[in-house]
Amino acid sequence: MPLSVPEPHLEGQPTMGRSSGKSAKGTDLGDRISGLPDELLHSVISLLPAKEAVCTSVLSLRWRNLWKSAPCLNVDAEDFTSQSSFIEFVNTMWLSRGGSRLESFWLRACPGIFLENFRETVYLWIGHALRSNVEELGVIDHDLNEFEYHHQLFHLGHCPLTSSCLKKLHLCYVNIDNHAIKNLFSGCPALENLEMINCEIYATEFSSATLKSLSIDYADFPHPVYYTIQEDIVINMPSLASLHIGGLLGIAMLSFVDVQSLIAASIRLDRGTFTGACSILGALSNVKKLELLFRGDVEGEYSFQIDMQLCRVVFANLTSLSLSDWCLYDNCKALLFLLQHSPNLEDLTLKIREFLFDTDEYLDMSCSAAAADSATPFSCEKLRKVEIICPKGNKIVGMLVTILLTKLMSPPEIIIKPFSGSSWDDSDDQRWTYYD
Amino acid sequence: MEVDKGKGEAEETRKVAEADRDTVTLKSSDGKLFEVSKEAAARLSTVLAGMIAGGSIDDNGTDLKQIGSEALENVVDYCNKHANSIPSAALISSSISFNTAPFKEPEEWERKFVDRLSHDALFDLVEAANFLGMERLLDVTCHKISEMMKGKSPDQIREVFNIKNDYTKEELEEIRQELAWAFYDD
Repeated sequence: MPLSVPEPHLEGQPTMGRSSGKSAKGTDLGDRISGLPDELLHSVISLLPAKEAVCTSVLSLRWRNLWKSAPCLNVDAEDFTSQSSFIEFVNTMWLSRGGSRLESFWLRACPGIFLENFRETVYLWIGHALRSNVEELGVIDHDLNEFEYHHQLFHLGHCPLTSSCLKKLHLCYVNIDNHAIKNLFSGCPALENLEMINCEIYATEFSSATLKSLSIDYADFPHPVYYTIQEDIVINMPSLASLHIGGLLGIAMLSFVDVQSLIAASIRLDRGTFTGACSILGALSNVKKLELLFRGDVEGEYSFQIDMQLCRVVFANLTSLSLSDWCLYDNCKALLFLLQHSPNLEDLTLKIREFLFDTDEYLDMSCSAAAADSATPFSCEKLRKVEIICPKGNKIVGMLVTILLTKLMSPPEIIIKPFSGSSWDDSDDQRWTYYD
Repeated sequence: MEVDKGKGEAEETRKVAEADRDTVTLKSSDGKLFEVSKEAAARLSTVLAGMIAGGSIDDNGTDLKQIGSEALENVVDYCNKHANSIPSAALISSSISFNTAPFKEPEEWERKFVDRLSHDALFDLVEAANFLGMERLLDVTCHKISEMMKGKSPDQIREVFNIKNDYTKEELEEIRQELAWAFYDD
């Protein structure tokens, strides 16, 4: 956002430096907003849907042409009654703006019967936005629904994606194939941030030397019947700092080649497998923050259990770790392994959902197993806080706390929060705390 | 927010600050002193960062003649809250926007922080944030202002913000014609 010392635009408007004392308080019914500098009003207008942004010009003389210089455009087909009025609006808006600087362009399509040329028109707009040197581009199609079985998604491959300025690309319900992804990374050398939400991905290789943040997510994907990932996903991004993979559909195998710059990684899988726990953990060994949330029935869990014991991985930088129930199998073997190999860990979060399996599969309820285990307690001396988020009345928590207190030489603060719902992010605010 | 309370806190924290230079003291236009985390101030405000780096911070209270005490208290409050806030869900990518617009979304606490402000206090804060070069706080406050405009008719927006319609009837008609493409649907 451009910053400048504000200059009053209208005579007699309240300005900077005016005291917020009593005299101003009671009587001030003035127009504060119109007194803000242009840059700030551009920012405000940038946050409005395009149609409302244009309509600000009728407010007063001060607002007459402000919208034309707003650096972000956010057009949504849903705000229009017909597709032709939407197309006319966007075309005219481009013309009216002239050569104003554009930082970001977001486009949302909506369900409905689209004219033949709609997608071609959108590709033209994307080309126009890129020629205007946008740094941020968002293309959001609506979700697939049963009424539009033959709904055609936008194809990344049809977008003229060549730009030396584009830094962030957000795609939602877009078709992405190998060719398109390759062209994207070679045509947009400044690209740092790529988000692919509910996209139909027909690509395997994700190789970029510049990308810093990658997100692939299907958390809200409504109808898996229409699309599942068939391809394996191979990520080779030596500059990547942040990775999020959520709810991969189908049977995709995930593997990493070079992700050595990763600082934060979050992998949430409902299904899908790994090529091997050791190679995954090895690739992630530099991270500071790690989240591995799998449902209890992720196939990878067993290989994780077995492989992990053979890994020679040390998470030297890891300070924050989030895990789900999979790490509790066999008396918390995986959990204890990770704790033993994370000498700088400070925070641990365990998200436990309703168990799909018999509790016995996880922990020996006799409570003696942990104590009887021949392995001696170990030190995880920087671990300050363990947060356990679990369904109310969960039987496993007591056991888990016992195991942690037995195994850790300097027991941390343990906080237990109730968990409800099925999403990983659901948790109640109430909390109660156990201190050792 | 009670100004008296802010004053009391400021004086109390000033004593702490004398022993501990992790903070800087700021002085409002009406002479009240506020203590703010040096780290947060430098991180959140380009102007304060420049002053700290340039050594032009006055231990007895750096004069910010352009900012009233209520606005400065909010600025300081925001900085200190920011200094203490833990990024939500520990992971950067936890808030993925699916269908939402592309904004640098305010965090929940930032939303609450601006929601409780009166109309005037909000604009005092915007102006203070602009003066101090506080990009993040400007994002948050501009977001709030745009929320106040969203979905409203021009008449409703004028009412909310006390904007005087200074167009003549003819001018307004001219604009409506010029922008017929935007009103086509209405």
